[in-house]
Amino acid sequence: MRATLSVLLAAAALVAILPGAQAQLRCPEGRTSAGECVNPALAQVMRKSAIINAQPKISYTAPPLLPSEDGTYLLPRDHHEAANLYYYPPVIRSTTLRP
Amino acid sequence: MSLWNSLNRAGLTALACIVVPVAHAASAPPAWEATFNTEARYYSWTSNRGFPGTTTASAAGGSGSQLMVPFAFGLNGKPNDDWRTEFLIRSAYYWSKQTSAGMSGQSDGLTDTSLTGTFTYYGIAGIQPFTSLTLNLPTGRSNQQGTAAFSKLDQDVVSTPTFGEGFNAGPTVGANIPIGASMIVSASFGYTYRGPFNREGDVNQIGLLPTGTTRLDPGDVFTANIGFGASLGQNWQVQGSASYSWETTTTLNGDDFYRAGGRYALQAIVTYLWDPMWTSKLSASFQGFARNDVRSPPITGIVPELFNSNSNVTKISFDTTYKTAMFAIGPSVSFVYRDHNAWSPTDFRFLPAKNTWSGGVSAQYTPMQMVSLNANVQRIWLREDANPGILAPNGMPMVRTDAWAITFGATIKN
Repeated sequence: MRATLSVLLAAAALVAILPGAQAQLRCPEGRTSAGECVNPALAQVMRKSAIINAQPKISYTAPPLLPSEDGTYLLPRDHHEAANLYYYPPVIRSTTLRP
Repeated sequence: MSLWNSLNRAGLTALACIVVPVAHAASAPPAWEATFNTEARYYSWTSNRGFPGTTTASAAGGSGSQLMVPFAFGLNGKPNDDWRTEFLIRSAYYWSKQTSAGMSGQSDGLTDTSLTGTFTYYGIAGIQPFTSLTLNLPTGRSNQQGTAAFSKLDQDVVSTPTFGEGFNAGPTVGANIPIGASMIVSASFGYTYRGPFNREGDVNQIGLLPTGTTRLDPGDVFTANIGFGASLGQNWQVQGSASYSWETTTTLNGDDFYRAGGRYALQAIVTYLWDPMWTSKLSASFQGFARNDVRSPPITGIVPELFNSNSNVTKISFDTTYKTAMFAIGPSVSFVYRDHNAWSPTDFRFLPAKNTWSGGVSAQYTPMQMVSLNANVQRIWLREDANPGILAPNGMPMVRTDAWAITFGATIKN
């Protein structure tokens, strides 16, 4: 029983190490409906853009990007909000803003 | 027999767990990729007005500088073929100073810290759904008392208008839908909860120093986004997106105060590979805003403003890069146009248009596969039109601000 288990374990290890058919067909960013591998660099850019664009006001000081990616993905921030809510002196007064 | 099967399964599973990552490391990128990235960004500006330029005290002109050092650590990996997980933690250290008549001050410290987790599923051919959650932890200082309040600088020069805010939680769900191997449509929907925080209170009537604090609860944001990206042949890459955001009401000390109008954003990026060494990229974006709801005493609550006080923003940038195995270098230019700029805090009018030109050079050096260093030098020119309607009797003159932005960065990955 122990010998059989050892043989099976060794065989499993060999299958895992060898670049079999399954490994050759692996697509790092998934497949199209026709079964082609998706361009991985394009897929990563599109996913990151979709997430950043869906969070336009998350964390002014630490957006969810590597610092080197800020220039690539971030749009200019809302100037009106910066002037009203964050700058000093604040637009916010006890009487506040109006048209 | 049942025990034998169980032992076999357990043994194979355990061995596979140990061996598979080793096999990936030998034949493919590592199963887990760790990245550390930091930049040191130094900004220096001079202007014929202090910042903000809408106060009488700013007439004597001013200058300022800021050092912003964002740093982040990311860990990306595929626990199995069907899933990809990405984690990121980011924060920054800053030092900021303004030297302007009556508005001089400085501050330093840690900014807020964000935590992000993203999960992508690859088990379905033709669609790759993902979900992401970002948390903003309020480790920075949102309430700058005394002269430190003047150290907040123009976000058209520096990278952030503040050094801290409240707790944020931003979940996103979406999917990449590949039309072909190199043509993808993406769709996403995000919600951003923005928690309350304290900030400087009313302006002292004698001077400009803040008195007390106010409790601000920014509106939450909902955003729907759709994108398109494609690699066309060997040379062209195009990318575009359109999004629409709407917000809930911002409250000040518990009272309804403001609600931003709906915002739409359009973006397009075209990249052309001239040859293996030369690449050019043209980017353009436009953001438009609908009217806000504001207070209008003596009416209680908030009502739609009489005219749209928001500024539509157009940005165009262009760069060209020459790249070899270890070096990359190239010029870049950009132009940002705000068709009207901001509210005057003293006269309740909006200020005129503002445009920002910048030009500079970027370079990158990759001495080894694990390490890359980058540098960027930009000269920035901001011009805000004269506004005769405020700061009587002479009005506010054209604001001329010239600035330098210098960045050094490093990336280390396994």
